[in-house]
Amino acid sequence: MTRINKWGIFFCLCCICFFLGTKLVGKTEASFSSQVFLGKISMTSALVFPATIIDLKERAFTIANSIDQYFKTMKQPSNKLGFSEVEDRLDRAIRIKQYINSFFVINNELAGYYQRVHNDSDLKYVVDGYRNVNDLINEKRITERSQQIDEMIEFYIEKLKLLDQEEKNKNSQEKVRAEHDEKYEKDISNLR
Amino acid sequence: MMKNMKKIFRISGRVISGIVLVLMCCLVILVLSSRASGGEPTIFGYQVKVVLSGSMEPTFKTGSIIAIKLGDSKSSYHKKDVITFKDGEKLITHRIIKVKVVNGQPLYKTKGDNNDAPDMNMVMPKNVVGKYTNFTIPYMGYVINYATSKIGAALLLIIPGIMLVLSSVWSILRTMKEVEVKNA
Repeated sequence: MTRINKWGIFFCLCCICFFLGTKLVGKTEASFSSQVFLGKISMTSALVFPATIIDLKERAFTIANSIDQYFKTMKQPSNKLGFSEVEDRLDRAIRIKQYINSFFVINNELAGYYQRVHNDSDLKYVVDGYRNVNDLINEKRITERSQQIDEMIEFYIEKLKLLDQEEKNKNSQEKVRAEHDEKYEKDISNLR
Repeated sequence: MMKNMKKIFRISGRVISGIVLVLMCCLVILVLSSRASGGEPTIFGYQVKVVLSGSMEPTFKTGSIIAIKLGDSKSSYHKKDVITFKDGEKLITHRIIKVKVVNGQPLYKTKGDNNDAPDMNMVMPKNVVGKYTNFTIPYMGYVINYATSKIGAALLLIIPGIMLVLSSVWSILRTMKEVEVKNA
């Protein structure tokens, strides 16, 4: 019994020693790395995407049609027009001039892309887009019409100035006449 | 002859018990001092660590324990040394694959033997805890891990503790009885 007791005590002491020993052990990781070395990646992107060219082309066609429509329904400038009529025509002419300017902005943008890519067969859509819009200039006679609009605007502005001057002259003449009549009336009444 | 053998067994048994007791006392002191200082337990400049993962296989396996010789600020390490270093809150043990000197200070490029790529960051000397001493015991980490679990603690500490207390009580009672018999 005593021997069993002794061995039991010894075993218990060993267990406690082992447990204490575990408390002296730390932890370390030798963790797996999921890190991957990337080689050089060469990325190229298109100078301009097809959607941009399509958008520019559509806008150019819409503007060119508006200009064309205006010139089809346009009335020739006349000296017999009234003040409000001249003002109205001047407004429309200025609006068309703005359209023409927008058209040339788009054309210049496409020309810029075209100059940079015209040797690149992968970017054929840029070349096509530029040529299509450029063809519109001849087809719709945009340059010629731009000059016409400039002349028209100049004419209407001059006409407006003239009409304005005429109106002023007319008003001043009426005023002088009214004053004259009033003075005449006064003189007559004094004589009586 | 038989009598001598018995005597030798009795003496050696007492010596072993004494060693175990001294060892236990030393362990208690070590554990308490390391807990009090808040640092990692260190035994004569060495630390023992359980390896939790396998990036250094086959040098040492997951679940093995390894001994690390602690370094100081003057310690320098070389290519192919296996070092343990701090990476944030974690301790990592990997092999040095390159030593780069920047402004007179060495920086260590490390990699797990079983990893396909080096670690992202270079290790600064101040983060190096120590160097692996080539001492490893496979699978011991699993045993230690179990021992530190609730069941392990119950089996290795609480039950033996209770048994020791009961044994002591029984010894005291027996001695008292013997004294009473003698006195009577």
